[in-house]
Amino acid sequence: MKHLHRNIRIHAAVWIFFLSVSAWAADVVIIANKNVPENVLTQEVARNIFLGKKTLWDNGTKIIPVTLSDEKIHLAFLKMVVKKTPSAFSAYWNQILFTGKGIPPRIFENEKELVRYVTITRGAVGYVPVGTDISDVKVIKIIE
Amino acid sequence: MLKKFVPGFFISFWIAASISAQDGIEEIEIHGFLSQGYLKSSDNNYLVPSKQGSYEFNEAAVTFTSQVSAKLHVGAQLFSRDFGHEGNSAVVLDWAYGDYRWKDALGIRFGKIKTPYGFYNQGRDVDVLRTSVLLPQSVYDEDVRDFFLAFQGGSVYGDLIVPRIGSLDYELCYGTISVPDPNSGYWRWVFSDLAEFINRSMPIGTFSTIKDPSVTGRYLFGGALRWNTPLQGLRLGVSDYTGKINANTKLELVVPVNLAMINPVLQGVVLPTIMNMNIDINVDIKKYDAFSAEYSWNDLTLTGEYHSQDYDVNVSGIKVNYQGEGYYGQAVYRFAKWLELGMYYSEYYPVPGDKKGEHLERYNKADQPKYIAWQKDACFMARFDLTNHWILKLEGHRINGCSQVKPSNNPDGLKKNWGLFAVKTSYRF
Repeated sequence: MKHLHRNIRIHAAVWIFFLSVSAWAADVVIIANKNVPENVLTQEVARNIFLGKKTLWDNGTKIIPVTLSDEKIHLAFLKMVVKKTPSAFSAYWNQILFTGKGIPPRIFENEKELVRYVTITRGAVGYVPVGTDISDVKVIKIIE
Repeated sequence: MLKKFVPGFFISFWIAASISAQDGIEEIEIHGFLSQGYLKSSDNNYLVPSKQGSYEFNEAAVTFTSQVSAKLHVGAQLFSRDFGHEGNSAVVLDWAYGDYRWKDALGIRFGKIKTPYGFYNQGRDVDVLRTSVLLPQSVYDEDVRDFFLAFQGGSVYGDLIVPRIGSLDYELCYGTISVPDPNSGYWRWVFSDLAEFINRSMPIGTFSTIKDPSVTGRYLFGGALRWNTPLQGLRLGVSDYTGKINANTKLELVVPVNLAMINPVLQGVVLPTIMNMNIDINVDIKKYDAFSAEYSWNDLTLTGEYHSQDYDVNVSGIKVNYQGEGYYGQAVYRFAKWLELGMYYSEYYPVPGDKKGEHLERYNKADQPKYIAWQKDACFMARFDLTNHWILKLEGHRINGCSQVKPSNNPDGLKKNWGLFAVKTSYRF
């Protein structure tokens, strides 16, 4: 009986974990300008894009990552793709900026402005919450 | 040098940025930061006149960057600093370079470039990047900051991304060392010690003064390798440099000459006589390395770094070898968006073979205490993020030993156990 209770607790914990992971995954969707050739990215490659380590798409276009200022959406995106806390992500890009190694991603106040920018900017890539109108951009699928 | 370089650089920068703006790639980004601190020690004067408390502890910078094309970006940072005797708020070109990234795995930088050493050297003047006010001095010694802060030359760099192995960031550097002020840091200490040594060694009444010191960095060669391991949050690094620096100074000696040596009739008549000497100092850096490790798990970050150095100092033909070793461990936890707490423990030994000072105690002739053979620093720190752009930091140090404290700044003697308090506020835009 003790054994059964312990197993139920373990299963419940595993389910809660997976539900929370899929909740992050479901919260945001990665979008890109329609000229971007890639349709699928591994989480590692997507992470390197938003850390400025991967700078060119396969067709040679400059990758221009952008982010949202909304803390909840930004946190969900960082947990899903970058695996850094918001403060660590900010410190990382400040170090890049103040040592001349690059320019941090532009931050947009709302998803509408971000989608508009991604629509008209070659090589741009960003994220928006699920449910945003993204008919003029392409969706990039993130796989493990 | 700065006067000639800055206008030329900014004209080129404006032209490049104008072209890029027409291409619609990027405009000029302007950012910067300002910080003001206060240091107070219980006993020894350390880094600044800290015994009485000192506000001579501030930085300001303005950064200009632009993505000129898909593969080329340019940038520059004007920087000013006041830190005790150093900086004195003079504006200097901190870095200014062009960066051509041919591929993710291969790029080149040319200009004045920040030296990649350890995890924090390149950003050591940017207070908002870390939790502590003072970096652990065992690895980031303020005295030799000028040697390794930046160099003028070029570097080859890249990010090698290998699936399942992680990513390897490398940068290989060659250039001349930029030493902006011979009256600061290591050189101020070398020159003042030289004058003091001569005053002690010559007949009573001799007084020497340093005139027109100059320092020329001949070259710096080395690089850094950082491995972002497949274990999420773990990164490892190694960096190592060699280099050569030449320094020169005139030494004006006022020597008391007893005129009885010339004519016995003049017995007891002493005439001060001025003599000039030219002194060359060559520093041959054979090794200046750091091994670094950092592990981040959610809001916890653990960091450890080890540093060792080996260099020869040749003063007008007499060569002396110096070594040093230091390390620290640090833990930082972010409790809330506005609060981060942490601590580090750091040890530094100027003579790694004499960590307890026994050799020093046995053989030194200047009555130096044996606790100048080590410096052990326990630091507790708090960082408050008041807004997204404005921070306030507080920290307290409990220090045992004085290996990095200058006797010349403490004429009343040194204290073995002492405390240091620091507060600093910074704004970035």
